[in-house]
Amino acid sequence: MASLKHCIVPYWSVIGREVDAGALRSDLVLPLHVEVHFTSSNSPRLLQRQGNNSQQMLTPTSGSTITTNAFVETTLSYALTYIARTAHHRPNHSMHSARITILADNDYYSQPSAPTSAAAAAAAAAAAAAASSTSTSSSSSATTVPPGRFAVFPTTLKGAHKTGLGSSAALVTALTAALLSHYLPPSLFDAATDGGRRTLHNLAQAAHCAAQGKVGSGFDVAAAVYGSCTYRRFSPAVLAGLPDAGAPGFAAAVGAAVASRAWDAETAADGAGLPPGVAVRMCDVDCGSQTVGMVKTVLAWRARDADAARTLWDELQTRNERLAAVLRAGEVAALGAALAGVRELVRAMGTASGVPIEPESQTALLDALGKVEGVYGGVVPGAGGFDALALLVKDDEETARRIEAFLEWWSKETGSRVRLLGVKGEMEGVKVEKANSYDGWIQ
Amino acid sequence: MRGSNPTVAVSAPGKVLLAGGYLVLDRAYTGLVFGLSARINVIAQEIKTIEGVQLTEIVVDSPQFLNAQWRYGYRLAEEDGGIKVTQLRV
Repeated sequence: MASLKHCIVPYWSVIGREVDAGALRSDLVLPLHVEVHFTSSNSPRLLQRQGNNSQQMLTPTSGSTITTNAFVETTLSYALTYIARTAHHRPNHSMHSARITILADNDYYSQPSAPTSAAAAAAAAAAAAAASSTSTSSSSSATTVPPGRFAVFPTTLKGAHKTGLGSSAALVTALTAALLSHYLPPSLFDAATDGGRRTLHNLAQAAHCAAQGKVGSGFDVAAAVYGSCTYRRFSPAVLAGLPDAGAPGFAAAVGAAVASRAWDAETAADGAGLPPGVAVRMCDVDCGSQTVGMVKTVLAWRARDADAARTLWDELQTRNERLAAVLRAGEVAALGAALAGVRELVRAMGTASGVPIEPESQTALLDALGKVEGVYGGVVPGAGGFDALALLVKDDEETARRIEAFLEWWSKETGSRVRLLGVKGEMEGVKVEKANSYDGWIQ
Repeated sequence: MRGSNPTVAVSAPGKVLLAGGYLVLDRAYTGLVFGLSARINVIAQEIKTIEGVQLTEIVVDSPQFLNAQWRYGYRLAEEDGGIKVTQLRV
């Protein structure tokens, strides 16, 4: 993976990086601002872009902004290259122009005010007008959408408040699937078939890794494609040596990577079960604390203290598998203990590595939530930290109301802001949708 | 082959890693991941052009946000470099 940079990029910060156009006025380099987020300016991808854009002087008008979107751009490169190769297209002849519309279900961002209010409606109209500035269709069509499905935010993407749910992997996966479905006949790509999902998974993993500049575990792309599952990562070697997008040999390399038999990721959909009447719910925790470099620090501890780390991880794996087994078997009475067992070792890993994987503030909140009627327990999900909680709860209105009331009280008591999000765990992965369910949003 | 499918829509779920943080980075271990009901939806449509006008452009809109539009040109790169995508000035 010599061609990929290792750096840590927060989710969604990469969607809608924004540059003050004024800062670019005396500069040729379009992606200059990317240096703010990446650890160095020497990324091969950036150098390559600089070279190709060097003839394009930016002369923005006063007050305007230029925004790049690394995930969208990289995914376009990978998907269009794969499409051209697969269908033997030549872009200037038969790969027609396309309009892509991205819509995020609610809960990825916090709504500053109720979406049905007059202020939000005005913002919606303004946003729709701005978004369709290049088209001739009426912007007022956005108001025909049933209220609430896709909240409209009176801000730019960068200015929006993210909830910590954000998933660049879902974007890369859905965008890849939409492009392949659009340009290729079903005989060459069908997201509803096993083969289609394999193609989508491999291509989206490659694009996602390239966009984020590192080869991650890929569990997020796997979940976007296959839905809930137990996941064993792919060997990073399968993506080794992939040239940068557009570099000589890139097309053949993408084709080979997608078709490779070296993909060894395991996604067991039957490994992830949820008992009837139990829901996975998410809380957004907005306390202002943030920790960077957590993964790096934990892995440094693991390298330094290999024997202790192995013992701890082996036992934690056992407890994680036990939690999955309890969920599959529907042993609701055993859920609390299974979750507590996992948390105990996660905290031990945090103490040993010096990383707040389950910070004290989250421990206090999880312990208190566990006493709310209908809450079986919870964890700090993923790599941990301050900004989210995942709960396993009784799936009914009363429980949700009790949690909301508790969180309101807790937020006041502790000066934090914790909210129960509307989102729930669900099993299904990528889905082909009916285009008319987006009427009002598309032209 | 002209074959394209006029308007297609696809959605993919967000995710939560309930168990296996850090461990999932190593193939010796596994993670337990749940998809979420909050999904990212992507709709792809053909842009109709007037006959004779040749346009190779992909316009990406995120209409829930202000100024969230990106335009890209694309062309075949030399030496089997695939499709070269370049962001266009708005």
